[in-house]
Amino acid sequence: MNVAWRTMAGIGLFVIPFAIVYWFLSYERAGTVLLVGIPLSMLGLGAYLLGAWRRAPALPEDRTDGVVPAQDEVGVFPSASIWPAVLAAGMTLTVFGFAYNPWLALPGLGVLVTGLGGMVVESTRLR
Amino acid sequence: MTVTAPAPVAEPEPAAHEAPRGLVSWITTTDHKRIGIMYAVTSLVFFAIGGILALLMRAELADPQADLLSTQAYNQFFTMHGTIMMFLFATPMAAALANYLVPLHVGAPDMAFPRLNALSYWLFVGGGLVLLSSFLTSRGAPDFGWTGYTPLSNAIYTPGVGADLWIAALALTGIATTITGINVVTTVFSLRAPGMTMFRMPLFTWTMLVQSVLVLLTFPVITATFVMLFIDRNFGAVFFDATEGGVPVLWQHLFWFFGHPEVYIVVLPFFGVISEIVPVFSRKPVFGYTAFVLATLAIAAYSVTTWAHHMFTTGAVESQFFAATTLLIAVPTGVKIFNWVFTMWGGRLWFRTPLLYAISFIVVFLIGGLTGPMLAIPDFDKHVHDTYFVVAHFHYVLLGSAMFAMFAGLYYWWPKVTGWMLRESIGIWQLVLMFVGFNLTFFPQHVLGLEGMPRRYVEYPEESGWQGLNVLSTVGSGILAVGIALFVVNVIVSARRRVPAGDDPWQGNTLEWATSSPPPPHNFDRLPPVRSERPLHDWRTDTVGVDAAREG
Amino acid sequence: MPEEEGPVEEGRDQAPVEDEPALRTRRSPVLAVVYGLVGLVVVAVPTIWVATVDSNFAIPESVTADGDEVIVAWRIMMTMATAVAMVVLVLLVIAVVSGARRRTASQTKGSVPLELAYTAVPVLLVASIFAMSLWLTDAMGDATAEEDLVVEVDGFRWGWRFTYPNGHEVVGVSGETEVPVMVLPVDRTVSFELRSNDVIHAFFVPNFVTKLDVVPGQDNELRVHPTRTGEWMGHCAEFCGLDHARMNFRVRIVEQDEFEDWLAEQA
Repeated sequence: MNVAWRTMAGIGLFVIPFAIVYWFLSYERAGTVLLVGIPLSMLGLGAYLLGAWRRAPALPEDRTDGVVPAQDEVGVFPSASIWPAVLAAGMTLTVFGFAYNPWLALPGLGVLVTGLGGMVVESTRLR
Repeated sequence: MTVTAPAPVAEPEPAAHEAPRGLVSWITTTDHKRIGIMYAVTSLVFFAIGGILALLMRAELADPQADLLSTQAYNQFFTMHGTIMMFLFATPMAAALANYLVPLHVGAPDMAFPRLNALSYWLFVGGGLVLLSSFLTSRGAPDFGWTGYTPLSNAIYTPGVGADLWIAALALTGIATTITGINVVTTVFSLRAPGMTMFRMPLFTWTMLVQSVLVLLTFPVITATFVMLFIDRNFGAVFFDATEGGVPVLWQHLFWFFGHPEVYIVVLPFFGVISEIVPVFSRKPVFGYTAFVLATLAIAAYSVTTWAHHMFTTGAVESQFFAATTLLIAVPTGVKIFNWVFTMWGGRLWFRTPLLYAISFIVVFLIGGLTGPMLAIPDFDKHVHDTYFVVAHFHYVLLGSAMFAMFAGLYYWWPKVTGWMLRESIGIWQLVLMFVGFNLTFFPQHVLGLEGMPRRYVEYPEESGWQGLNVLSTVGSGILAVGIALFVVNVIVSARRRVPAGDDPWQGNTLEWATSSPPPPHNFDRLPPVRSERPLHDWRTDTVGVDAAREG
Repeated sequence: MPEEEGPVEEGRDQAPVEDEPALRTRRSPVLAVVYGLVGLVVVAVPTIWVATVDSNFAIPESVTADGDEVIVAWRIMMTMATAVAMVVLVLLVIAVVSGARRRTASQTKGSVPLELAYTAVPVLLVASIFAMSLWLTDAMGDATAEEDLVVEVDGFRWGWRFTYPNGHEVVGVSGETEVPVMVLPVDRTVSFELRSNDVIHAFFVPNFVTKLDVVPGQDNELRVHPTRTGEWMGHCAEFCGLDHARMNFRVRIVEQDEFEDWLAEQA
C-alpha cells in the first residue's frame, strides 16, 4: 500500500510543474484546466490510499518475509448473475433511444432500472 | 460464493466446482476468465470487420481514380475503420488480457467486482452493436474520420443520425472501459496474494494498473466531449460553432487530451505482454524490473502533457511546449526497448512462437518509435501532418504493437486458457506472412507521406506518381490479411487433434502456471509462496528469491 | 516443417535449464571483438551514407527558403534515426544469435550503470533534437520577416478562391472548373491569409514543405519566400467532407516582371 499511494501521488505531483509552465506559456484555458485536473485526481487518490494504508494493519500481501498468516476469508465474490446483462441491455437501449428515437429510451430506462434494482437486491443477499 | 484463502503449499485437492455449461451460463457468468475469453473473441470479430474495411480502402487506392467504392462509402469506411480498431478492438483486447490474467497474476480468485466486470463486457457488446447499426441508417455511418473534428461533425455538415449513434456507442464503450479500469485498479491494490508486494507483481500487472489509471483520468474527458458534441448537434448549443462565438479548435484540445493517452492505453498492456514473454523464453529474470516500472509510470505521467502535437498545423497552440513533452516521452519508451534487448542478452533463447512474435514486435515498434520524435518537431510535422507519413507512424506503433504482441500473447497463453497447444509450424508461417505483409503495407506509406500524399483521400492525381507505392501497399495488405487468417486456420487445425498442454508448458515465472490448464473457477487450489517476482521459477528451482533491493 | 511438439518433454525438446548464479560460461574475447567490429561497421556505414548522400529522402524539391531549412533538419533526423536503429538492431541481433547458441543463461537482474547509460543517452538525443527544433523555428523566420505580397486564400467545400491585392480572384470549384492556378512571384515574400466560412481545411503545397490549417473563426497566416520558378501541385490537407480529395490547386511561380505583367492584365 506504501508503493500504491506513492505511485499514484507521484504521477499527480509530476504533472503540476507542467500545468504551471503550460499556463504561463500559452494562457490557453482548456488545456490548463485539464492539466490541473490530473494532479487533483491523482493526489486525491493518493491521499485516500495513504489513509487506507495507515488504517490497515500490516497486510499479508505487503509482507516480504514470506510468512503467510492464517486467513479465513479472502472476500465475497458474486457468482453467476443475470443482472449485469439486463442492466447493460437497459443502458444500451436507453442511450440508443436517446440518439435514435426517444420512444425507445423509455422502455430502455425501464430495463435499466430493473437491472440496477436486481443487482442491488442481489448485493444485499450476498453477505 | 465466499472464497477462502487457498492454503499455501498444501496437498493438491480436486477442484470443488464444476464448470457451468450452456449459453445461459455465458450470459450470466461473472468469472473473470470467461469474461476475458468473451472479450477476446468479440474483439477479434471487430478486428476482422475493421480489417475488411481497410482491405476495401486499400483496393480503392491501388488506382488513382478508381471507382470501386463511392466517395461516401470510402469516407464512412475510414471513419468506421478507425473507430472500430481503436474502441472495439485494441482497447477491449487489452481488457480481455487484463480480465483473464490480472487476478491470476496477483493470486486472486477473481476481479474485485465480478458483476461490474460482466456489465462492462455486455456494455461493450451493446456499444459495438449501436456503432454498427449506424451503417443501416438512411444517411449511413458517420464519415468525418474517427477524430470527429468540428465543425465538420456538427449537425450542419453531418446531418443524419449516424453521427449521433456514433456518440451513443462510444459513450457505452467508454463506460465499459472505465468500469474495467476501476476493477483492475481495485484488484491490484486490494486482492494480491500474501507476499505479493507491488514490486513483485508481474510487469503485465504493472502496465495494466498504470493503463487503468490513465483510463480513469481520460475516458471521462472524452465522454464529456462527446456529450458536448451531442448537445451542439441536437440541442442548439454552440460549443464548437465559430459563427456563434464557439471555438472549433476546442474540440481538438479536448479530443486529443484523451486521444494521446489513449494510444498509451492501447500500447502499455502489449508492452506488458512482451515483458512477460521475453524473460520466460530467455530463461532469465527481466533486465531492469524497477527501471521498467518507473518507465511505465513516466510514460503515463508524460502522456497527458503531449496532446497538442496533433495540432501543430492549427496555428493555435504553443508548439515548443508540446515538442519538448513529446520528445521527453520517447525516453522511457526507448528504455523499455533496451530492457527487452538486455533481457535476451546473455540468455538461453528458446525460439518458440511467443518469442518470435515478441522479437518481431520489437523490430516493428522500433521503426514506429523512431518516427515519433520526428513528428515531435513542429516545423517538420507541418510538412507531414495529415499525410500518409502519420498514417504509417501510427500503424507501426499501434497496429504493430497491438497485432504482434497480441499474437505473441495468444500463442503464449492459449495453452493456459484452453488446455491444448497451438501448432508451431502454422504459427511461424503466420508470422512470416504477417511481418512481410505488414512492412510492405506500411513502410511505403512513409514515403508517400513525405512526397505529400494527404490522408483520407479517396483518390489522388495521376500526375502525382503515387500509384506505384500505393499498389505495393495494397499488395502488402493482402499478404497481411492472409497471414492473419492463418491464425484461424491454426485454431481449427489444433483443435481437431489436441496436444495437451499441462499446467506449465513454457516453464513460466508467474502464478498462472501454478494452476491447471484451464484453471478451476476459483483459480487456485494452492498457491506457491511469493518471495520474488518469479514465484513459479523459485518454486521450480527450489530457491528462496528474496530480493532485498526491491522491498517495499 | 518443424516437428509439432507439445509442452516440455524429455529429450531434445526439453525446455532449457536455468543457470545457477555460481556457474558462468567462459566468454571468448575474440568473439566479443568480432561482434563489436561487425556491429560498428553495420552502424557506421548506413549512418555515414545517409548523412552524406545527396538526397531529400522522399521530400519533394523545396521551392522556398524556409523549405530548404526544413530539409536540412530532416536530413539530420534521418541520420540520427539511422544510427539509433542500427545500434538497437545490432544489439538485438547479437542478443538473439548468441542466445541461440548459449547452453545456460546468466541470471542478472539488471545493471545500474548500464540502465543509467541507456536512459541518459536517449535524454541527450532528445535534448539535441529539441535544440534543433528551436533552431529550425528561428531559422525559418528570417526569409519571411517582411511581406511583399498578400494573397487572401479562402477554402470552402469544395474549392479555393485566391484574391490578389488588386481584387483579382482565381476560383476553382471541384467538379465545375479547372484546377485553379495561383501565380506568384519568385524571390518575394508572400503572405497567405487563410480563411474559411465552413469547416476546417488545410492549405498544403508539398514543395513548400509546410502547411497550415484554414480554420473558421481564426485568422491564420502562412508566409513563404519562393526561390525557384515552376509549377507545383497543392492539396487540401484537412478532411472536409465529400470532395476533400478533389480540392487540388496549382501554384505557378514566375519571374517578378512576368508576375507584374500578369497581375496588371487581370485587373
